[in-house]
Amino acid sequence: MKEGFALLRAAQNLDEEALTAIFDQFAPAIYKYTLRLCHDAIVADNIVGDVFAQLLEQFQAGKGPRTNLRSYLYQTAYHLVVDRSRDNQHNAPLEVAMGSFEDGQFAPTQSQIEERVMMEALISSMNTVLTDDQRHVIILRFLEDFSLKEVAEIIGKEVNNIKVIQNRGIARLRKAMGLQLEEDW
Amino acid sequence: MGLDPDEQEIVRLLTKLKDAGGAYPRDMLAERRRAYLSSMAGLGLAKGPEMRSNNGIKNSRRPGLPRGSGALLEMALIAVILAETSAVVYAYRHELVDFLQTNITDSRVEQAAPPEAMPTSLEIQGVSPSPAVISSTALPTATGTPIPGIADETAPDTSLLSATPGPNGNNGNHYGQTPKPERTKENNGNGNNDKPPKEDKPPKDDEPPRDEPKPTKAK
Repeated sequence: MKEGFALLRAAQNLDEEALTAIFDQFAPAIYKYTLRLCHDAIVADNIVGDVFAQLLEQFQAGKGPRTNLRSYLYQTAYHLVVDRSRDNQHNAPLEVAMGSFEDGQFAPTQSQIEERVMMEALISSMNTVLTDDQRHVIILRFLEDFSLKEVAEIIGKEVNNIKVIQNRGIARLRKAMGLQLEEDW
Repeated sequence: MGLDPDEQEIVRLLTKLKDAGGAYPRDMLAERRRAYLSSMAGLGLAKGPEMRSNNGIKNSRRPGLPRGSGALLEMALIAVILAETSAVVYAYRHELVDFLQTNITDSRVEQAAPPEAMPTSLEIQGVSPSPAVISSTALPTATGTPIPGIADETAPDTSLLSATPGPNGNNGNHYGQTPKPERTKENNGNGNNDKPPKEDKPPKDDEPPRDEPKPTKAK
């Protein structure tokens, strides 16, 4: 199976196998990212469909990504999520992430409980204290493993600006979590 | 990056959060994949999901003609048609030359023929001319409107045919023949509302001239 740049070149030539491989490779990740932002499985699924439909249209028009396919797909998903959140005012990200922590098969240890409390505080803080830009930057940087440059391309800002947004977001999270942990304990 | 230990702890928690999150439900993913493949087929990029499942059909060729044989056959047919056309032209070249020459001489004779007499503008417009014009030009007999005062000797009695004869023989077209109006009464000023001609009034002597300054009273 083709990978990376070869896969992108084949997809630009409208190769069926490459286009299918792109969907299989990126659709679950795009879904997860979208679900973190919009907290609705149906909306996330629809956004995945829109992302890949736009990709097909771009390839057919001779446009589309030239170098970084992953950034391009996340960028499309990001814009679709932002558009939907503006329309619906429906923005409660990351709560769905707690599902995996609740599905433990064994009885949690003390350290696992502490970790879970920290995670809950972190998720709550991300939902409440961060601005939209800070939330997007932190999710893309630390949950999706994009570089600063890639995040700048996805969000459409300068790298230095992304760096400032990231640091301010982390500082806010630290402050909020410190306060929350003090309240909890 | 220059982060505090607390902030590094936040980053560590965030990276642990990476693995958390809802996975794509299988049925939803399968449905979305099928829709994606259908849209690919709809755009003409690839075959649909039903066709994709059978790769043997996808890669098979039509038996019989090799690839590119259609273009070769088309070229051969065009060459045969051209050769046949040129052979026919060569065989009938004398007849073709005669035919072309005949057509050229016919067109020259037609150019030398005199043009037909053009109808006059009055005939084209269908306007009955005035008697003055009629006296100098020949009358068109095709005009339907009878002209009063002018009788056509050869034509039948048109008074029976015309329902509304012209009033007093006046058809209203007397350009240049209108008599000058005669004055019926002398203008002597009696019982006439018209104003008499203005006479030049002499300037009044008692009125001071406007240009001179008014005399000031001495106190």
